Amino acid sequence: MIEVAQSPFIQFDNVQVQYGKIVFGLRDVSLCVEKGEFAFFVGKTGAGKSTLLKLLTREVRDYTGSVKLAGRELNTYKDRHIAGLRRTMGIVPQDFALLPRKRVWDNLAYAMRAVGHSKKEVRKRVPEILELVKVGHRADAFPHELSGGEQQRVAIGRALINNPPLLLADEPTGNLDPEISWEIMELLLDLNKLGTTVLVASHDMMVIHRMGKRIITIDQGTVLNDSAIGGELFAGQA
Amino acid sequence: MLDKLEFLFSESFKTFRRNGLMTFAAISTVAISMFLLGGLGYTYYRVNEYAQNTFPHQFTMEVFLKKGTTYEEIKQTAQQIRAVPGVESAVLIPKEKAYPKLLKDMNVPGLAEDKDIPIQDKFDLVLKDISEEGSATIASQIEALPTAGAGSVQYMREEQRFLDQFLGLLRLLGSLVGALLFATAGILIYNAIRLTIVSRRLEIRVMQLVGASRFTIQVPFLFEGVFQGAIGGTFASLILLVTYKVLAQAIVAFDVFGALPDFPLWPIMGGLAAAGALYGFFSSFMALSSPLRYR
Repeated sequence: MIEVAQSPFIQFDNVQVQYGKIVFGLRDVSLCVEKGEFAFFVGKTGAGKSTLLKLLTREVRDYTGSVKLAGRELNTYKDRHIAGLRRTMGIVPQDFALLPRKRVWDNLAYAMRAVGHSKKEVRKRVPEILELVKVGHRADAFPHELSGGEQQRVAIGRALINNPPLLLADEPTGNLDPEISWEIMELLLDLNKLGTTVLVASHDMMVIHRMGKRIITIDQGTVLNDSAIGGELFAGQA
Repeated sequence: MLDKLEFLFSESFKTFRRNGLMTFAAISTVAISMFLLGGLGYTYYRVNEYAQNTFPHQFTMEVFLKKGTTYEEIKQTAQQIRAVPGVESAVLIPKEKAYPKLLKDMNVPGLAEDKDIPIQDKFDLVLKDISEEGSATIASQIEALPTAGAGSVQYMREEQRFLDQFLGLLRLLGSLVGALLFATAGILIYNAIRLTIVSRRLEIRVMQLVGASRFTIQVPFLFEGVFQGAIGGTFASLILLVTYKVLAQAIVAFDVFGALPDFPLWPIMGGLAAAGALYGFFSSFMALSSPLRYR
């Protein structure tokens, strides 16, 4: 059983997100995530798992209740502070969002340059990241020349350019074969072992069960089950 | 710092290639509107300058003094007239000098020169301001002098009115055509930037995902607008130069006004490029206001 700590890294308290008058993204969600934890948000499409991640990235801004990251309430971040907030987290979008006309190396270099790194830093850091996510040998390839798994690795690599303490991945194995999905999860696990807090929204139950990590089940915007607080623990959990 | 600037510049130049047709449309419209605006502005300036330099000597104002004005009063009046704002010079034409000339001009042999001279002393005035309104103000101030009086001032009121109307029409025409074209150029720059934003939405999304500042995301688009405006303004000055040369040759050939002065290329190029850049900045700033909000 995973214990809930007294000073959580991420804390949702009675969070409610409403789209329009009658559609709810989240209803009365309360949960905590510790620093260095690895947790899955699972549920059907439209259940609210992506909304949880988007609250943390401030893509979803209107909510009631409280969402705290490292002790700071997220609605205290104004528009001008969001860039700074994003640099404290790595975001892996569902569609990879790779630049099709740039090679793998340039995709990372572009992102690093955009956040203000010098060319020298780029030359040093990009090969390290590509090795870390195991696509160093494809540095000169264009995204369309990569497999789905390799594209996902590049997207994860790009999310690491700021050395973030938090990694958010939205359906990282959505369109991948089971074997490749497992490889991606192992990569995320490796990053977690290096101290990164990893939150993954996914409905790939087969892989999730085998990971043996915390699983938070969301249904119709509410937390249906949380393995960390006495919910069902799946086979293979550590 | 240089590293950062290089990144921002390279980003802004990328769209020149990628969004070439729209960029071309924006630059050419800025160039044409600036050409017409600059051309009309320069024509107005030249005509106005020509009028100011030439017409005052043709549009002289005459002030006839009352009969019996003494020499002392004439001296005092001369001082008063020269002190009126807008009067460049005032030359006394004594009746003793004017009358023989008048007789000679009229060719009337029967009038004896020893009779009482029937005309008055007068001043011939050259004015700095030859507008109808300016002349009327000067005339009324002079008519208020005791040695002059109502009706003592004569000038070419109608001719000045015509000149005023002509310059006014030129100004109105320039403003209307220029404003229309200027607005069109602004809309085109705005649209070019909007299209660029659409064509680069993935890059923008990536930048927002990794936490690039709004400054980094927006500045390339602002640069692009500034470049479009500045290049348009520069082209406009070059077209103006060519047009001016052609016109100058025609004017010399027809010998209407004599030779035109040299075209001041550098000040005009600098002015139009700066105006274009400023306008490009404004148009792209308007285009950026909402679509680049952090999402």
